[in-house]
Amino acid sequence: MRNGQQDWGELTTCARRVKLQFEDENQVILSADPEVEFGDIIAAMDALRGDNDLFPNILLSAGVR
Amino acid sequence: MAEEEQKPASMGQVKALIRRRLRRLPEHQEQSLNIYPMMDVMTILLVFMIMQFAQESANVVQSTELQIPYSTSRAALDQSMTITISRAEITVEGRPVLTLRNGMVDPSQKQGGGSGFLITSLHRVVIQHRDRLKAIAQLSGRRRPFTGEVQIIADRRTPFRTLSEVIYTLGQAEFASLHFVVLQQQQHH
Repeated sequence: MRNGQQDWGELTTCARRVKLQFEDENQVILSADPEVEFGDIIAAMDALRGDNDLFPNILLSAGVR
Repeated sequence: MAEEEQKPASMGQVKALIRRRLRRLPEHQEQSLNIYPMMDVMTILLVFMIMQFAQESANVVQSTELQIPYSTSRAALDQSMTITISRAEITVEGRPVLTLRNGMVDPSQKQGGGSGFLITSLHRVVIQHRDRLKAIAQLSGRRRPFTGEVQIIADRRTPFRTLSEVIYTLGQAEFASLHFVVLQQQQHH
């Protein structure tokens, strides 16, 4: 979070670090709290996908609560 | 003999001659333009253009109840069943299925109540669509197989819980290939 807003750039940086360790991996599982808005889910998907060079296959998980 | 040939023709002979000549004339042909081939061509062009536009972008009308999020994704849209989740309702192919309260599904609409994920009314409708699409697939052979594809148009404020419930319900009706409809980022700037 930065100034009360999600820092999507930081998520991309984090995903890039993970990608360096697992270069062949294309999938990532995305889960969120029930109240998280769809717009933020899309932004997180964009951040994790990068320029299609990070994790282009994103699986949504509702999680168990 | 020569005298016989020069004898003037009787009225009956003249009439018979005129009738014979008239019969030899071709029947009057209607000189109009046949527009049926042109209509066929226009219909084919129209269908082609509709399909082309349908594949390029979704037909979405934004409102205060439906604000679509922006994305950097450049993925193209395919033609598939459309589910719209606005703040006030969920529609399938443009037909309202259930009402929402601030984007949330009422527990009475779900199997198992508040903790449930299966939205019963939505499930009933998507099952009908699945059966219809499977029947089309069966009739068309391999040309239009049932792929279980759905495009979801959701308001950007839709809670993840509602989204999960819709996705779970779709999954129970064999719709497992989901596409989220978004606005391309460059349109935002």
